[in-house]
Amino acid sequence: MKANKNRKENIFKPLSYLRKYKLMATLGPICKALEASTEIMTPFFMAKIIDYGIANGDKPYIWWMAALILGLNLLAIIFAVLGQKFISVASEGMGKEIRRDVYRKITTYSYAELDKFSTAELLNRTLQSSMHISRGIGAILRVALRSPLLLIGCSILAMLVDLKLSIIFIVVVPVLTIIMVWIMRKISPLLIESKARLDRTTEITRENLSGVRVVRAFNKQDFEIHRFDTANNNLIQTDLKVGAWQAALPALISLTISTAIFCLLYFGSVRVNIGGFSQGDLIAFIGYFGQISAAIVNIIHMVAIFVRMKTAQVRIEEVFKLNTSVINPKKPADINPNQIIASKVEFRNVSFSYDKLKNVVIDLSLVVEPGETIGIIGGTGSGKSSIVNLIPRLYDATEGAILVNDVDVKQYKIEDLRQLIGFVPQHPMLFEGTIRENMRWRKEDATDEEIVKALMVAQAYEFVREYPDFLDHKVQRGGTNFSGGQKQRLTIARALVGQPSIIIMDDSASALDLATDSHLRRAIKNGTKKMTTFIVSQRTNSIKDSDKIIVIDGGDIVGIGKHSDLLQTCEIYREIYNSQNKKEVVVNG
Amino acid sequence: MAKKSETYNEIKTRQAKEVRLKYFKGSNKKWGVLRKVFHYAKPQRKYLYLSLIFNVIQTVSELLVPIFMGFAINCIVGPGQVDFIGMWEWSAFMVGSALFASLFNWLSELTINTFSYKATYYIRALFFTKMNTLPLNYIDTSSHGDLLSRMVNDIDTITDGFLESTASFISGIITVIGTIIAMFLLNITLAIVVVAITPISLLIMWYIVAKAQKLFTKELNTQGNISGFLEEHIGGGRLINIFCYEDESLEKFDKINQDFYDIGTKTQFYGFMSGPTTRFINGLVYGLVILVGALLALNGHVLIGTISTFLSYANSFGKPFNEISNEIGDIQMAFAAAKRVFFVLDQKDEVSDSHLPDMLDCDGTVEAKGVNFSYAPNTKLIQDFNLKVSAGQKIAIVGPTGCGKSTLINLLMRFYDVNSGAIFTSGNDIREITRKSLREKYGMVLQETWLFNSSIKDNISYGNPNAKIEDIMEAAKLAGVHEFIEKMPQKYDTIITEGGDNLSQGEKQLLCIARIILLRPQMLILDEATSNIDTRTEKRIQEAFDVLMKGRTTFVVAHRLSTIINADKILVMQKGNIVEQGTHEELMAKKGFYANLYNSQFVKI
Repeated sequence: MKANKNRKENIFKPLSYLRKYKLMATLGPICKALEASTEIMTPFFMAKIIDYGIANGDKPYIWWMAALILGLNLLAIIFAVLGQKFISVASEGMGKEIRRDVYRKITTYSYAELDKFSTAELLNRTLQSSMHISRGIGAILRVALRSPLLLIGCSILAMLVDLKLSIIFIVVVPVLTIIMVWIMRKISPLLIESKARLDRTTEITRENLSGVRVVRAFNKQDFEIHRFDTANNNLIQTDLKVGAWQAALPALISLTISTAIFCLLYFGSVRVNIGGFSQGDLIAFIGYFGQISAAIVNIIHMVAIFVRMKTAQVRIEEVFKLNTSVINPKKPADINPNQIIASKVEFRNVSFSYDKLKNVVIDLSLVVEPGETIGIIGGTGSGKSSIVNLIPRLYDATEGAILVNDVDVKQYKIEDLRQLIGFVPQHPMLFEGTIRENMRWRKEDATDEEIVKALMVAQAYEFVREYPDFLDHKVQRGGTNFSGGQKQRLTIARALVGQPSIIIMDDSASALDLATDSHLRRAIKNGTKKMTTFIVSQRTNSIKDSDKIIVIDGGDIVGIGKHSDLLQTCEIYREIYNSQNKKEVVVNG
Repeated sequence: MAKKSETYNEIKTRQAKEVRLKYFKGSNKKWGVLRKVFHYAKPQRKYLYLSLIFNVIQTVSELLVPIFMGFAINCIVGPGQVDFIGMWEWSAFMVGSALFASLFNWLSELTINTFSYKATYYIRALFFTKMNTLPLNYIDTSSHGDLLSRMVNDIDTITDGFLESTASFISGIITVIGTIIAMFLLNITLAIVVVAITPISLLIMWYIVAKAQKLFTKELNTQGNISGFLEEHIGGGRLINIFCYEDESLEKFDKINQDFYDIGTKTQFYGFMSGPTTRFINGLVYGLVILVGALLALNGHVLIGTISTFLSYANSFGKPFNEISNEIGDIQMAFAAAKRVFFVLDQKDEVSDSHLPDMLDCDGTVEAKGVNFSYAPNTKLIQDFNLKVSAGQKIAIVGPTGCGKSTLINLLMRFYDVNSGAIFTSGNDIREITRKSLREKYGMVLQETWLFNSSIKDNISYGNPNAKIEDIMEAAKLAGVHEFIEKMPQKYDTIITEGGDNLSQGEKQLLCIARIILLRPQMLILDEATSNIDTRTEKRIQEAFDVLMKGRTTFVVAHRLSTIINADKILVMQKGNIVEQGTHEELMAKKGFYANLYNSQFVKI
């Protein structure tokens, strides 16, 4: 990384992203409001036509009023198009900025932070949460000025015509709201249940796919089909209930509105009979009424959108709140990693724990001279990977210090430190692109010769050579076009490009058979004589030729020494060795 | 749907009958796909018919509401000129109609939902059953995630798109026709005004919809791109960390993000233009109706109330077109989804064995005669393989990584059929007996553990559903996992969660072994690979394996030296083929591939 910025921002203010699009975000709703005002006027002019135009037989008047109405209609669509354009630019722009910042924040995460989220969670927050917010803002901007304006405007106009009759509107609003809220409360738990039941059917299907051999080996097809049938049926039952409630909503709404119109007609007829309220007014009222109820429904829909936006905001905040724990020093040591051939590594009373509760590495002290090979062995969860993760500061030690070339690792610029090291992680990972692109991660300008050299040491040249497009051969997403062993060898090669001074292999040979593994170790020893090498493994055969072996068990360092010594002095080492090589020990006496 | 009493074989037979829709088979044309969907939905069709009937009643009632309202308004002329009785009558009719409309709207929705959901249920059941009758080759070569998506998402899309949209479509047509009839009955001139505008509105609507659809598809693709990028780069976040690749990654992201912005602004614009556009067209009709209506009213040709009715119709006339244009998107997606689902449903089942006899006795012998096999026609794997195994023998399979050890397992269990030659179990050619009877003689423990979301008890007794708890515990004890289970909160009733999070890899493996111990099969297939398991558990697993193997014919993919050296026969595999056979001593004497492999383990650097 060119500059390891430590983003101090750990607050997320969604609206601040709209600032860049301030102009659009203001003009948009204004246009929509103007659009709405034209709509409000229509019933008004219509009443005029009926009361004056028709009543007085005034043809020209009718023509003018109708032209006015049509003209307003045209204005409305023009405002709508403009408003729509402004709003989509503002909302999508906002989304783009949010996505960028969320992803940028994620790139600053070190291992410790990445441990706290799953990939799916981070992906959702970058993509979906940002969209929920940006598209939610879009919906709100579209409606923000429009619907309340329609609501208030029509109400005022109605009140101006006849105050008493407009009371019907005031009654209808809460009735509609109550109905919508009631139904939404009925549906919410059902939706959750529906999702859970869908998850169940998905799970059973997944189990049957991954375990297809087991199911067939045990002849359990009948059983599985019936198991699925139950889950499938349960799902449908819930979905039917949801559908019933969802269908009730529009039915109830239209019923309420019809009843309100009925009241309008009754009270209106009384008013007309008395005088002071005309037939035209009545028709206008019905028009206002239609617009008001539509506006109410839109506003209530905003509630759901708002809730979704809030949830999305909280999710993104979680991402921002997490600050990287591995920080660059203020005055980094001035060291050029490319000038060092082999590094000395020293552990001074190093302890490490992930969660500050249990130590996975307890008090390790060791000096590794440049060019030495160190093997680290222990069972799963014993802490062996943790030891090597501390060297490039993928995690920081909780106690003690690690020195590389007599300089505390925390004094290095992180980029320089990692440039010293070639790291092969436990699970081989390649990125979509060509082999050459993947090999250049350590060194952007690596030549083909350098790459080939690394491939040869990693025992990968033999199969890469077979490809007609050689280094241009494509790596598919996830590296699926390679076998497990091939992927491992490629990731090892990647770490070797550009001659690092330290190479760390974290259980990187597990998919390789013993023969390839031994060739690999030999090639590394010979082809990279000067590199300091760390090999983490569960196999004694992989590490028994190391200069020193660290045996770790549940965090405790139970032995450090050469293979032959440890066989005598370290019980755990002996146990591991024997279980992997029973016969050999007997044969050799 | 799978009835409770239907056995696996009966389901297969019924499916075979259904797929004899050779008439529809392979027809990817839209018409063919549509017919297929409706064929699968056929059992539920009474709900569709009911829904349409309800819909008609609803539409008629809805059409009457503005008419009655208009009549009521005609009674309210001016001061002192109000016909209260008439007003009451017509208003009452109006509310009555509205009530009917609401009720039948609801009923119509209910029935269409039932139709569509039951069809979803049925197609899902068929799909799942299909998964169990497909040849293993198909499942191995398909992306599981993709199959899952077809099951979960695509089937939903089909019913949404076809069944619900079709119903909407039909009800939309009924509404339009009904409205036109009503309008013409009321006043021909005004009716012509409304209907004349329609072609224009249709054109405009469909232009916008078509544009939006294209953009929408493009947006989905871009979303897929950005999603794929993020999955790779976030999933590989640790790698980016190690190599300090952050800036490069961000640069690449910016490009894709920009693409998404570009397409997003367009889709958002067009996507939401249909609202204002509909309003514009309605407004146009509105204005013209008022104009013409007012002019006609001057001459007494039309009553005010009628104008009001027409204004209501003008408003609701546009709605069906709006809905239809929204449905078009769903229908297009449904076609795509249907193709994907039928592609799987139309696949050939594995070769039937319902006419074959069961293998009754098993003497633990296995023989291979001249077996040739490969997964793909052009590559050569197993060639001219011969083997004779007597009861109780242990056959170790060894070889470098990726050499094809699982191929043998696939053949023995008849997960795949040999290309030529034959495999015999207890003297029977395995193609001449039922798969069930063959497979129940084997117990299989593979490297990948498989447990399902249920209790520990259910998992161990998976192969013996009627096992007594004492036997289950006994099996667990022999596998060395009983104490561990006793320590769990609900002991044997503890539920194993998805992915088995509450168990370690080693514990899962031991449960799988217990499962086989309970089964007491005559023959065994084991894979000894135990990476990612700590030493102590590994030891327990090896002890459990030893218990299992006592006295049983065993094929073991060997990783332990002791297993290999003690085997009665070693099959040495390389590049998919068995290159050497023999005991350890015999093979060492040959000084061939095996000897080389063996010696290289102890090469001194």
